Amino acid sequence: MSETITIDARGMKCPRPIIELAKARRQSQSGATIVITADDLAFESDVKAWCETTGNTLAGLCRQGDTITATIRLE
Amino acid sequence: MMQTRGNACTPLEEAEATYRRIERLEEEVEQLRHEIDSCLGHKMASLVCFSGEWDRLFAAFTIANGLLASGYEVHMFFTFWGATALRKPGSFNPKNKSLMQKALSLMLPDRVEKAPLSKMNFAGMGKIMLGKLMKQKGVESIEALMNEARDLGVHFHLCDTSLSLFGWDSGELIDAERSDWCGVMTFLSLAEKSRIVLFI
Repeated sequence: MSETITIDARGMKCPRPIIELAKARRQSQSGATIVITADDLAFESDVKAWCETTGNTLAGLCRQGDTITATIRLE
Repeated sequence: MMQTRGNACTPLEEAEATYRRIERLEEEVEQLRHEIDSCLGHKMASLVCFSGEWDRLFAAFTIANGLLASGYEVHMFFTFWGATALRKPGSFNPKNKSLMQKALSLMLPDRVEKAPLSKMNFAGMGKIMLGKLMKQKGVESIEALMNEARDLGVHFHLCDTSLSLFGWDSGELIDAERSDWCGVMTFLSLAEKSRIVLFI
């Protein structure tokens, strides 16, 4: 089974959630999954852009109130 | 019957000439392909930090972090007032400085956190208010962003001319030993290869 990394980026502002995401990616193998939760409004748009520019897959994005949870599969 | 022209070529010579031409074109295509790959294949960005104002530097370091997080190789060029961002706090050394250089060094902020705002600074009051708001909202300090960029492997380039104007030596600058002391051509050669070039 491939590994899953969970990041709690709540309370963090741009660009911190994306930096944390990038750091987790550096430490993981391809095929791994990252689940990151953030409440920065910019994160929803930024995580899509990050996946696009880095070539990773945004497997899921869900929003509950102010909290955004993104599931990213690393390529 | 074959037609004769001014410079008569045998069909074999003509074929050879065409073949050589094709070979030359193939070489050119290969070279162009290589150039395109070197431009597009590598994610690289060059940022000129010209302004020494806190808000503009904040933007520069935010963008640098975003780029680093997206896998870019990031080159930041510090020139003119932007060079103040890299001053090492409390490292002012009056040695080998003219009177004007000493005055400039004392008037300019000696750490990035102390830089003034480009607007509504109001002798520092505006900045204090903004700083409070940023803390409330959980926005990071510019020094934290700068350190993060250094950890993520940003490349610092220092404008040698600016630094010689201010008279700052490597002991008075952050990361001086890891930085490249350079001129405009270094910037241009990296900018040429960069997908993103910003002047801040």
